Amino acid sequence: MKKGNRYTLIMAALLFLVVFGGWFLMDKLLSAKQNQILSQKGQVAIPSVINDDKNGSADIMVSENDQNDFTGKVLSEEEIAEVLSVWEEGGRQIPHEPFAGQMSMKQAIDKGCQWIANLAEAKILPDEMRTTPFDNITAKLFTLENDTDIEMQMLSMWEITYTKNDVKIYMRIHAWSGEIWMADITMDKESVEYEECMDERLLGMAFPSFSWRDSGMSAHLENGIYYEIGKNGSVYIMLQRYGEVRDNPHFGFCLWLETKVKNKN
Amino acid sequence: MKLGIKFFCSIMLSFSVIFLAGGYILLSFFLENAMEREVQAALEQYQYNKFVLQSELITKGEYWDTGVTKGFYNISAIKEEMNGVIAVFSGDDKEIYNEFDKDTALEPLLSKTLPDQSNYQFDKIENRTYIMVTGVIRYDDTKWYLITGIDVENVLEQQKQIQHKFLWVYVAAVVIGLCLSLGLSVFFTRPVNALTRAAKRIADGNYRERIPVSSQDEIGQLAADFNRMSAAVEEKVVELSESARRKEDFVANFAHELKTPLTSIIGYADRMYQKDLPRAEQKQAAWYIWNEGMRLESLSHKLMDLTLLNHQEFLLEEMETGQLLEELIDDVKYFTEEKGVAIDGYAEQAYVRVEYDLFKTLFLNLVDNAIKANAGHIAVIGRLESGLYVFEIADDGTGIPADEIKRITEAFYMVDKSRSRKLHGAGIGLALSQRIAEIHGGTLEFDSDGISGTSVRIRLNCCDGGNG
Repeated sequence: MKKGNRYTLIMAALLFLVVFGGWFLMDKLLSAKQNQILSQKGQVAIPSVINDDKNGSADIMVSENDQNDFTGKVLSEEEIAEVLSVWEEGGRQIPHEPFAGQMSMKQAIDKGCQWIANLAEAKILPDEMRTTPFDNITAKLFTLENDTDIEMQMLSMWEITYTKNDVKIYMRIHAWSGEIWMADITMDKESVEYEECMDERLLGMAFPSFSWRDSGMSAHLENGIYYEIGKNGSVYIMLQRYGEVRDNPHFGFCLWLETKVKNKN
Repeated sequence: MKLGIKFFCSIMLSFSVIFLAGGYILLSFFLENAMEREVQAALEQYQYNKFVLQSELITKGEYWDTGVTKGFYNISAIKEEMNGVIAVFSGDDKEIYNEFDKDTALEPLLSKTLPDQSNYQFDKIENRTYIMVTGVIRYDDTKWYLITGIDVENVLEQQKQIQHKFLWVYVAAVVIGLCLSLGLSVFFTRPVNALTRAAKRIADGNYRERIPVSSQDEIGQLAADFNRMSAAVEEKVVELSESARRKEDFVANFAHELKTPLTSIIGYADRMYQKDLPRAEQKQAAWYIWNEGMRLESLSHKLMDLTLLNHQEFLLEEMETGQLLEELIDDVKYFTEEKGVAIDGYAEQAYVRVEYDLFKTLFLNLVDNAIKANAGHIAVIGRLESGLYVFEIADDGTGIPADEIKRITEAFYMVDKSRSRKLHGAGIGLALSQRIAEIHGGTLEFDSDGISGTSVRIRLNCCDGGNG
């Protein structure tokens, strides 16, 4: 066979090998890669943003002794506005164990229970909310993935749902300060004093510790929302009452903080 | 191996390797990324589930723990709020709640779990792949293990589907690549093939062959150079053919010039040998033999000169033109006076480089020709003309017919053969003169109407005077 023809044959064979054999090689390599990935094992120190947190970030729940250790950071109106603005922008929620300095699950649940009890005592909520245990309580702690300079532990919120009979309360408690920043209460029937309670009084009972609240500026919106403005104008304290709907009686109200007034239904 | 095949194979090999390598990188990157996201999602799902169980423990406390452990209460009541497939074990590894298949061994997961961390690993359960996250939940004295399994088989199936699609894309790319590389090979080797065919035609003798230059790249440059080469070859072949023809003519003419006198010599000698001739006839025969012998001798001398001119180096020396002309006329005067021809001349002052003896030979040949053409007067003028120096030798002889002027410098060519042979001419003198003019870097020009004389102009290069 001529030398040139021999080289042509060799080249053709090499080409065939690379074109077809290459695919099978790639397939094999990908399988090996997949097996390598699937054989991974890992340990994750309790999902926490602060890696050097050694106190209170374990699975050890806050004991009764620890309950007294939480003092809660007092935030100014501007600090609250900063955190609120991040939450209003939204982002990916990351669940995590409480960081050092944040309230534990028990403390958060107790905080909410106390708040509910206060409202029940004022007849805003049914009396049984004060005395008998809830049917179900679920608490979850989140922070928010974001691009801001705010530390992630400042953004953490406890989201707690309390259920008892027809009453459902959804609450958001800022984990760092321990304050309730949002409460959404729904029930099938009215409680005694709820309808007669003035908006200002209701907000006062819901947010007793916000000293910056008392600016004297407030307003009613056409869709039934009442709001007050913080002293520095950075935070709005909102209240919306739910009216009766013909086929689906629905009472309750929603209290929340935000940085700008939006039309809420 | 043909260039086109080399092109084709190289392109296809490179294309396949790059495509497959890129595909592997992309697919493995996708898989890694997807699995990282799934692990992260599994850890978050586990955290959600843990919050749900912790909430129950806190709100219902030991009452609930005991009730669940003893089987009075079922975790399935709160399962709706949880994600994935879960299993709950007590602190002493006793199963409290388990949604996994009965054959799934979960106990080994518990032994690796530490209180302050969550563990994760991949496991195959009933032909589906799960990320198993295990951790510890504690409240007061209660310790539970929570295992959450998140099904990621969809991700692996998606990976397979993507791989499958990639296979089809690869097949299509290979087919397209085959066509493209074939086309490119043909496109790039076409001019080379054209060049090959043209070279073959030139080798077969068609020296006028040229190829069109259709691009400015290296191939276009090669085509242009090929055309230049074939033009040079054609020119050379024409030159060599012409030279061969001239040599053939030279030999033919030489043989003819040799044959004619030899025939006479042999004829007359044979006659003298064969017969007893009267004295007068013997003398006549002897005269013919001598005359032809003289012609042969003249021919021999001139041929010798022509040969020497082609193979010798001559040293040219600078001479003032007036002095040169004066010496030339002095040297030929004996000859012209013997023949009864007047010669005079005038030269404008300048300097030329000449080899005197050689130039004298040229001058003598021209004067001799003028005398043979029955000239009575020869005038020689030297003048500057357009940067060159021209010696013009004009006679009033019979002249040269205009249609024969271009051939008179050919060896053995004679305008009037009978007159030349009578004067022992062989037709080589002007060929010699032409060669001498070329050796001096000059040219010879002839001008005649064929009736009233001939004018010969010798053009030479001038040089700076007095520099030697």
